[in-house]
Amino acid sequence: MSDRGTLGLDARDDGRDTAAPSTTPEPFDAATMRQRLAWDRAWRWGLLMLALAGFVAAAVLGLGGPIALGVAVVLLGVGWFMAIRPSAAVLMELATIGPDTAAGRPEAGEVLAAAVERFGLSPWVRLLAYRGLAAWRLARGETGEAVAIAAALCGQRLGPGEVHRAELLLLIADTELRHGRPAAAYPALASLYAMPVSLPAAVRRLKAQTRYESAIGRWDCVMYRWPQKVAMADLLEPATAAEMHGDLAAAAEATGQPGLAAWLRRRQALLTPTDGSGPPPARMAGDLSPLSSRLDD
Amino acid sequence: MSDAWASDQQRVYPVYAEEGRFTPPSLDAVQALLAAYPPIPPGVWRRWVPIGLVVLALGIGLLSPPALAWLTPWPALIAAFLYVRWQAGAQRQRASSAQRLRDLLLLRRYRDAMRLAWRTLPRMTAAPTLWAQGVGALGEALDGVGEYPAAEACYEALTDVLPADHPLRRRLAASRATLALRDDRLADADDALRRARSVATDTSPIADAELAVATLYQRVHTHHVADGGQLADESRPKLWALGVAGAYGHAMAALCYRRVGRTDDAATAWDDARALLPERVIVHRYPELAELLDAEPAGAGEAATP
Repeated sequence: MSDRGTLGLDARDDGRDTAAPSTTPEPFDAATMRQRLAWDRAWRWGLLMLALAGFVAAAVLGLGGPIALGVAVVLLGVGWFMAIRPSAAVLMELATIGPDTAAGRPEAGEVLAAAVERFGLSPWVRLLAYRGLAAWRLARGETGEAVAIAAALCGQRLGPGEVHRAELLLLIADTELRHGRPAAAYPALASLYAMPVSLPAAVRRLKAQTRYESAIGRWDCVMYRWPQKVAMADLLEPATAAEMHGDLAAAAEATGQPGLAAWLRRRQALLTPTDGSGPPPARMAGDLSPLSSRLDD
Repeated sequence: MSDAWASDQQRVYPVYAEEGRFTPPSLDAVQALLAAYPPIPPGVWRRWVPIGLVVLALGIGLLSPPALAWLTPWPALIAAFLYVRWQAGAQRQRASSAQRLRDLLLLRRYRDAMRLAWRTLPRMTAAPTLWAQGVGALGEALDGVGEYPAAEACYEALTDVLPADHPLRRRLAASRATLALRDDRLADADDALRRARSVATDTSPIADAELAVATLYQRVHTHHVADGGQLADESRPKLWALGVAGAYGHAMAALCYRRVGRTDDAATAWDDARALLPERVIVHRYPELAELLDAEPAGAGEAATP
């Protein structure tokens, strides 16, 4: 069983619809994203300043009558509604198209393309839309675009979307390692070790670390505390766990432990999909799926 | 090396390391909990509270003396803002508990998961999806500590609230079949398996694998061996989807092979099972498989552990 070269970022035999969407999202450009974020901030600050100026002016000019107050509260309410409506709509759309995004379906691409171009979003909502776009690109095998988006997002403050930073870094590390570029994966891995991560992310981080150490030939590091690594690999999705077993087996062979290598290869074979789906591409999330986590499907 | 792996597995599967300090909840207690805290769909009033507060602010402003009209509405507006924040905070806390539950189940810390699910389920009622996740987690945890009737009560409650075409129904039916077999309710198990096969909305590998294991367990438990070998042949290629839990399926396949006289296949399947999980763990979960310990001693086939 090959554990290098068949990692199959382009393997598209899993039933995903890869037909070109009618509205293809534009190629990613970090400068455009930053420009849009700057407009978002300017728009929100502008609205806030306008409201404050209105209140101050009314107070200074003595327009405190009941009718003026009613008009002011209604205007404030309408303004607030208009300000948050695009962001709320995009958040709803992102939640609705989650499965389509993960499957790389064209209709999700159209929605995401429209979302990232929309005017007047909260900056963190726009960043979430870009994150969705990265997941969609990744699902379609457009890994270069996905990594470019993820790298640009990691350079921003994500606000409430900060919980997704580990996923974005894992995406970068996984993809670079799959393309045989361990040096490019290192900064993302180092950042992952400098931040608290959830259990699923910690397991995927260990898997990426093992792949990194294999790629640079540090077999002694790969074999360090191998029983714990096997136990952690058992928490991964089977196909991903099989990949990690492949790395451990290669390390066992390289360090002269043929018995252990044979045992790891056997486990790798038992965990490898037999339905022809092959190893999964890097994912944004969802490698770990106990019964209770599937209830929001 | 074998010792290193085995001792680590002991830590990963702590069921053997724990003494009888803990008493899991009984079936009655679980049923009472589920009855006391059913899911409550979000009420309309929750959305209207902030709007009502804004209207109140407007009313206060209109009724106030002109000199104070710009000041008096603010307490009500601040109350509306705090209410929305409180709602969002409560939802975040519920989601965080659900994530913690998933983590505990992944780590197979069933007792901790059960305690957390028991404590947080009353707070989950306001979010039906999270409530369903909590009940599913409680069921898995009870299953993990061997409280099978209580686990089945959770799965039953979950089945009752899921839509008829929900993909999870197939996995739930397979789980309920296994639990019914443990309780020797063969007709219920048969019925659950039939229902699992009839659900066409989930054709995922994991659902197929869980159904295959439940079917194998039915054959093992009832000593029905007529088609055991063929069933094992068909099931084993599906078990990868369960990860290391596929060991139970491989062990059941080994027993089926053994009962139809295919001893070489039995030895291979048993070695596969032991490569994924220690035999003590397998036999602890399915005591029917204990006869493999004598029939297929370690080393009968290819070495299963390093």
